[in-house]
Amino acid sequence: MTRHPTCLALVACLASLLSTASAGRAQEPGRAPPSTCPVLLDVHPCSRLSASLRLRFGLADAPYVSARLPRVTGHGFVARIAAAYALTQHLAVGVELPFAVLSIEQPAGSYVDELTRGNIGLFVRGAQRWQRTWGSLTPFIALSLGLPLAERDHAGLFLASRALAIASALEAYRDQASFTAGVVPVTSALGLRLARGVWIAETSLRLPLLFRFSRAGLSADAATHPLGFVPVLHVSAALRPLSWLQAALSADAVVNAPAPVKLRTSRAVTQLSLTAELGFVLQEQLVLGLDFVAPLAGALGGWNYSGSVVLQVAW
Amino acid sequence: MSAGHRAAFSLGCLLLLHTVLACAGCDQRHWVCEPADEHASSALPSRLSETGLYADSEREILNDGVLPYRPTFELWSDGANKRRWFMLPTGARIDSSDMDSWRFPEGTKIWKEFVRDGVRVETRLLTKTGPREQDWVALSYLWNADQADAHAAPEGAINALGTDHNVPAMGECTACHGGTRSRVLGISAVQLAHASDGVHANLDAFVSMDLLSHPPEQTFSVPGDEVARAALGYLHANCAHCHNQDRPAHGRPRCYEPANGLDFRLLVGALASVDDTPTYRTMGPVIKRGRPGASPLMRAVSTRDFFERMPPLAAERRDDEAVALLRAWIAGL
Repeated sequence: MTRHPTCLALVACLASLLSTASAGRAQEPGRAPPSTCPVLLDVHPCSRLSASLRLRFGLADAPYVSARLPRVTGHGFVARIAAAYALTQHLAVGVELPFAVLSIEQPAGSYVDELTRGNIGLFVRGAQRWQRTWGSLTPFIALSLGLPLAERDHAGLFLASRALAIASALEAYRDQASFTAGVVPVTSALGLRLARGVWIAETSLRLPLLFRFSRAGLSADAATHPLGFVPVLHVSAALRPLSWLQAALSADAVVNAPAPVKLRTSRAVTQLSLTAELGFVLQEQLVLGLDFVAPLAGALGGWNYSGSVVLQVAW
Repeated sequence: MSAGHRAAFSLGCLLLLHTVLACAGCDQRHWVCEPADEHASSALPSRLSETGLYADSEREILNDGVLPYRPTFELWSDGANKRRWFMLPTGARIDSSDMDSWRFPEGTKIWKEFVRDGVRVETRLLTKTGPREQDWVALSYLWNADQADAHAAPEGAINALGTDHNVPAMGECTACHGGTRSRVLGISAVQLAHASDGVHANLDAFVSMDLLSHPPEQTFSVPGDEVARAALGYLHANCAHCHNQDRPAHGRPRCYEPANGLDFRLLVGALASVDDTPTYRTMGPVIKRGRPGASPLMRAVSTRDFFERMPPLAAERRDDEAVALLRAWIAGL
């Protein structure tokens, strides 16, 4: 356990230090990127390749799936390494690797450290930017396929599945496709971004379908669904008052309709969460982001709070 | 902000993050234990009725060779009522050459049953699976709602059978049992040195049944007045399995392994007077004679706060009787 967070921190440090001496000037707020630039959306304009590392730390008490262990409690890190490449001006492909390093509370009060991996995501994203005098409008769609490599339980301790449950809770249940074992997740998404002056508004709807092919070693009394459907509605508003600073507030609503596995202590089917974000453009190709996520009106019967740091590099 | 300032800012944030990560990941997190070998539970029966405790589990008829016992000083378990049994392999003896650290033969089985709020919740099994000192496997069996049998629960259980009782996971057993060489906490010379009650085997019964390789040559009694005896016994039963100066080395990160020099054991060779006991000799850092309010030990046993509570495991409620006892004892020192 000691080595893993340290390695992650060193990788993050290295990524930061790799930002070269080229001190390109950040784009002025409200100024449109050249129309020939790829529309990657999440990265500073005019980049073809982007990579990011997000490290989220938090605490969670989450409903679980077994009668003996109706809930799980823990804390730790959820990490995502992602990369995207713009094939054309309007089409990008990418990959995302999620994993988690967590301390899981055991029934008598001790903790166990667990390193677990999530489902690897392959995605294709399309976007079209319409530039007008008043700003820009960018509808986008995405399709992703999860490689079902999330770690499964092998024997009676259920550490892997509990770690995945905590990781999913730390992400406010917005990405159950990454943190559910024994399923092939297929996610479609569509959204719209509106940029005007220093303001950016965005809304999107993600529709993950989790096709179950294995119980993944869950306890015998866990009630799995052959098809999980956990749509996520996202709305956000961002302000970019300075060329190097962006602040955003967003809300997400997740609906378990149904969840891939029935949760024991949860009578709720929705999770609402609020996220506050700050973004710092360090150089034209390097962005540092911070966020804090908190649940609104409970969290499917538990609670979860987390914050993250993300480094994005673009070329 | 210039590019240089931005780079410095980012490095500062990352160094702060690294510090947080290092603290979170350091090996001094005493509350982190290694999980049990996930295949170890498969070597034990899946049902309590198959472990050899009962000839008839529904009517609670014990198997031949299974003997009930009772320790003089009991571990606090949130007020649970407990019964205990042990069984040695036929013809085998306990190596009692070290009267303070008995070595049990391969095949030894020890059971402990927990009843909370009138509900029989679990029965724990501790069994010696090999010749080495550390060759023990522990597993809890969770009783069914119909109380006909109990099934292995290597993952433990939260609020079992509708009670507040939590059943420990397999790996949690060594957090306490791994702190003594014998791995057995309730069967020892000091713990069995009580008068016979006609039901539970005591030290005299162990001797008369020829279960000890080196029978004791004297009787053992805890020194001090009634309050001191009770306090010393409580600390021995609830604290000494972690807080002792004879912990077996294991070369792994801390798992409830104290970093102080306290020793709360009752040793057969140190019972001449209270001042002879390891407790009186080592308690200085945590017990201020005559001043319970200034004693860190009182703060620890009075709270269930995660970072301060004692005992740290397997107890969700404060032992109010013990808190009053220890306060009275310290006040009288």
